[in-house]
Amino acid sequence: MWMRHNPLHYLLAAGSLLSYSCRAVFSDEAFHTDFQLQLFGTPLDPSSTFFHQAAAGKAGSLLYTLSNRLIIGAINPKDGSQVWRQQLGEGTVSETEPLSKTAFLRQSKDGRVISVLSGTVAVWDAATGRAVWEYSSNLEAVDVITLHTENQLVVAFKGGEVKAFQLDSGILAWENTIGEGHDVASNFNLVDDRLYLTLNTPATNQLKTVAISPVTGAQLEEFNVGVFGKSDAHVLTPQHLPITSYRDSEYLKFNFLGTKHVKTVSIDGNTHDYRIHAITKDLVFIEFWSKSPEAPVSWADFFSIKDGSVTKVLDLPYENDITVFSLSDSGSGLFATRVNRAEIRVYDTESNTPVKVFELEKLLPANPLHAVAEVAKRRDGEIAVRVAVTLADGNVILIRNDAVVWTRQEALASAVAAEIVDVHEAEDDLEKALHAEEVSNVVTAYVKRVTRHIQELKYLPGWIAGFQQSILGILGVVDKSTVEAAAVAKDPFGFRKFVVFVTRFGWVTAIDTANHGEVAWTISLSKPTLFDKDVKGIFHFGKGIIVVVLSSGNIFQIDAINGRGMKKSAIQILPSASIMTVESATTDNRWIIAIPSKEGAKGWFWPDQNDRDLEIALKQTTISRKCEGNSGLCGYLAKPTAGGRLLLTQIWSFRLPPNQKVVSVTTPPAHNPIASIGKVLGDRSVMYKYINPHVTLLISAGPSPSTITLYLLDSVSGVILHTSTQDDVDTARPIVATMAENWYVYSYYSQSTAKGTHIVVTDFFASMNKNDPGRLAQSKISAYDQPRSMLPYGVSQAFMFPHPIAALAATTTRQGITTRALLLSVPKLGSLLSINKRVLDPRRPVGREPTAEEKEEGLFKYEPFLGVDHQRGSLSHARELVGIRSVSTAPSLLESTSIVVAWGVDIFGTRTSPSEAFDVLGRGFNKLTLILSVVAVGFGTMFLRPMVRKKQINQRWTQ
Amino acid sequence: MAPAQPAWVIDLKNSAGRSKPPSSIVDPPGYSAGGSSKKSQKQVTAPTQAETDDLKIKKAWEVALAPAKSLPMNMIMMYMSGNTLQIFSIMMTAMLFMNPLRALSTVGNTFSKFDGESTHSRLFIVKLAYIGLQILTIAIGIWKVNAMGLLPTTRSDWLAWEHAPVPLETSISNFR
Repeated sequence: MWMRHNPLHYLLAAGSLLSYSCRAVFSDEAFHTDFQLQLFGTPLDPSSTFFHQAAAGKAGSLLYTLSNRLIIGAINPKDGSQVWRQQLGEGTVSETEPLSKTAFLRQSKDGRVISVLSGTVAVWDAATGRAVWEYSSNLEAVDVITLHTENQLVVAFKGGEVKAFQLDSGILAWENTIGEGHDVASNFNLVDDRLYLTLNTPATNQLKTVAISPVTGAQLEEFNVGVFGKSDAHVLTPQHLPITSYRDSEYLKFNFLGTKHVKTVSIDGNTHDYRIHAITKDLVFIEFWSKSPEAPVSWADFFSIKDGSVTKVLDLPYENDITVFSLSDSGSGLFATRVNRAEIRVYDTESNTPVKVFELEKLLPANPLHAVAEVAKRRDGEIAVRVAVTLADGNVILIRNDAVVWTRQEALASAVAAEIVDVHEAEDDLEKALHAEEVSNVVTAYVKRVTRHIQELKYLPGWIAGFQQSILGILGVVDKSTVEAAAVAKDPFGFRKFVVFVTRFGWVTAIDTANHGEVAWTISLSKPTLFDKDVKGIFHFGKGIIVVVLSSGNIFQIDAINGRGMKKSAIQILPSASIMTVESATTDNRWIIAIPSKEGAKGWFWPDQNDRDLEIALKQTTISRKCEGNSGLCGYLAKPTAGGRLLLTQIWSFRLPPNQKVVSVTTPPAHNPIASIGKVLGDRSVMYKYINPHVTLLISAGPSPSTITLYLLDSVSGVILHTSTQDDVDTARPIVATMAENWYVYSYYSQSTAKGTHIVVTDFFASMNKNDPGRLAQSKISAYDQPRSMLPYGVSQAFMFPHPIAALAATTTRQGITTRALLLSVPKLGSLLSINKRVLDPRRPVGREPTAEEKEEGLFKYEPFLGVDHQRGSLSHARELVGIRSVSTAPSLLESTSIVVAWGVDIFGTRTSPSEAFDVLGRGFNKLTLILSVVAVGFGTMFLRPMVRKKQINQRWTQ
Repeated sequence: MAPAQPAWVIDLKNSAGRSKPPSSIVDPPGYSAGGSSKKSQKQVTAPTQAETDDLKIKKAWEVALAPAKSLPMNMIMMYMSGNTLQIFSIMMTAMLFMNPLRALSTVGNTFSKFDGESTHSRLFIVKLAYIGLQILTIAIGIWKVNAMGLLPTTRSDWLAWEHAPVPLETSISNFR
């Protein structure tokens, strides 16, 4: 997109130059213009979510959870606010598949919680979230048991290793290996001052339980329980039960620890899965469900364990609905809580009719996944319940009796894809109307304008009312927040964007950047789980419509403004196909096209109509995607044929050498305006920028294990425009890149003598000579006409940065006049930093002071080390951001301001003005003073004018 | 009807037409009604036409070369005032253009009192010199404006009107 040049731009640019050293965030804007959704992620499983005493002897408990993003933390159950959170296994949270590691959270004695991730066991202070100690090994932990009398923590590992640590210090008390490491441990129980470890020997199919002394760790006894068949599986059994359990497809088997006695319970063939709950030693509560989505059934049974026998004492009825159970004992008896979308029922252990039913005021937005409950029985027999429910949409809600107290949008921590939608675009016809007036003749234009103005009169009363409000707001009569709310609704500066997320739970959710990230709408795609690979893309389809395309070929059309599902359709696509959108240059038509990677295969387009227009739209269009087998990039020409198919002709391919593989492919952002096509030097000559909208940056690893190669390609012709290599690169660490205008920036971890994170910036110019426009001298350029002499001239410079960078992005503004800033997500600091592109100028003089001309150009001496400028460079200021893996930017209607949304686990949104807000008054601007002084001057003039006139006349008369 | 004129107006008007009253008072000794007695006594020969012309031309040259005297001063002033855009330097530079332009527009007027049948042809070269000097003053102004960076002499001055070429092809891509 090329902006027409206007000398005014240069004036603005000059203004932006003057205000170069600015603060990233003003103190009166912090926490006001920005927002953060502090998220945990969706609770992983019910055993890792619990109410627990934060400190010994303290009344009230906190809700602890371990999420699918491997974040543990405490939530205040009263209002849903975050008390503390910690990230387990730093940097590994962005799991794109189901969690493959063992991870769980256990309560220890009061004031302590214990987290386990694979082989790392950590003890945390439950009130503050401070780490007490951590133990790491390459073994995989199975379970942990807190020994209250010994004040020790015993950890059982998968290979049969058992280690006991002092709970307060983490000092190893004893260790022992059961079964010489040949066995696979599963359950770990504590029964009557004896530890029991359940193991099976895969070689012999033997299942055994081993009694261990909690004092010394010595193996006391070994019981051969029986055969652990091929189809058998361990079942997680609560630690304080005197049984260990395992299963096959038909039976659930209980072994009484310390005996060889096995009791089997037959399981209904309809059962999909079950879960064992227990709080006391003598009562087992098993929750069953069948998970055919069409006919969900759930039920639960109470079993009593007494004298070596397991007997069913109570069964809670079958229900053709998804319900989840929670067993709780808060001192006033054992209760089972059953939650479905409509009601909460509380059962005691006596009968299968609920003792209390709470009808929810509103149906829950989604089915429950699991729940934890606290039931309190008052003296008068009244029952109160508090349930934290994890819903199928990934969110967490807390219900007190019959009302939802709070909802946490935890699903947003599991976003798979995101797209920023301009809310105004849908309603903003003004630009089109103006354009229509411009092209038509004078008379019709005049008629059009007059009718438009008459039509706009209907907004007048509203405008007057709003004006009155804002005047009152200036005077401080009306509450400031209502004025601000009105300003948000009016949104004159275009700060309001909807960020639309597709979450892993198959929901699409939009948040409002102007309204502190509040959820604007949410809609289900009726898919239980989606992973990165399942979502082909989320596209902005014009006129405020969002299209979500799944790998299955399902296409969902959603109104981005109100979140209504508009149309659902499906096309037959290959799972490997790349999805893109095509826009007609002449009409409003848009299509989704799918390009398969398989050579010779046909593509698809949707909707299957207006193929004449599509043919015109695709005529001069090169479509590029990754080649089959990820071996490089391929470019195609497409021609629509009948039946919604596309005939593809490969016109170029760029194959990497066999010893290189693709690390990343970066393209310039869709909105990439370039206000000035050249850079003015100190002597007032011009270095012309290399401007090409079709550039693609391909970063590949190889040929040697520590080398990366960068290729700048033209995606129309496939021409290699520029290549460079970097040695001593740690290719196992993230390599991130971004590009805009005529430059790209990438970051990697270097193993060279200058060890650490490097940021390399490359600017491209049309020619290495001044005043040489190169290709830009032509009025029309073809990508096929790029002789060697016209290749871009690149200037590079590398900088060192103290921390690894997880995501890179560049700010973008409406017309591209404002200097760009580079945005860096730094997980180590939990910050989103901003570095002005002027700092990252490769033309900065190296090893000498800049000359007068260079100074005039704004260049200053090159310093290889880019420190973190917390004061001026941090957009997230005092906030701590967790798990940011992508940063998106969008322009606002103000040229100075770019809207930034960073997402991953947390969602952080802010506005940034890299060249300071030169086109808007700051919040500190005192409108009242201005108005008062104008009024005062007006009054003064009114009084003084007659006086002066009189005096002048008198003077003439007395002459 | 014209308003009645005040008495002082009538007096004033009438006094103009009044003849000098016959003087009965004798002139003081040494006073001569005809001016300086010495000069009047000398034989005054009227200058010839050629002499008058020479004189006129001489005078015209003086007028024409007057701007040359201010040239060095202007140069020094312009040099001293610096190249920054400030109100004084702008005003001085503006004067540097205004004055010569005004002078140029009134060349005929300036030399009209020296102009005559006989001097007309000789005055041409004088005017030329005058115009040349004014242009020289303007040249100083231009030099100054250029030094201030206000003349569009460099490539960057035209950059705002240069457009990026229109690409003939389009490309769409998705590398996910």
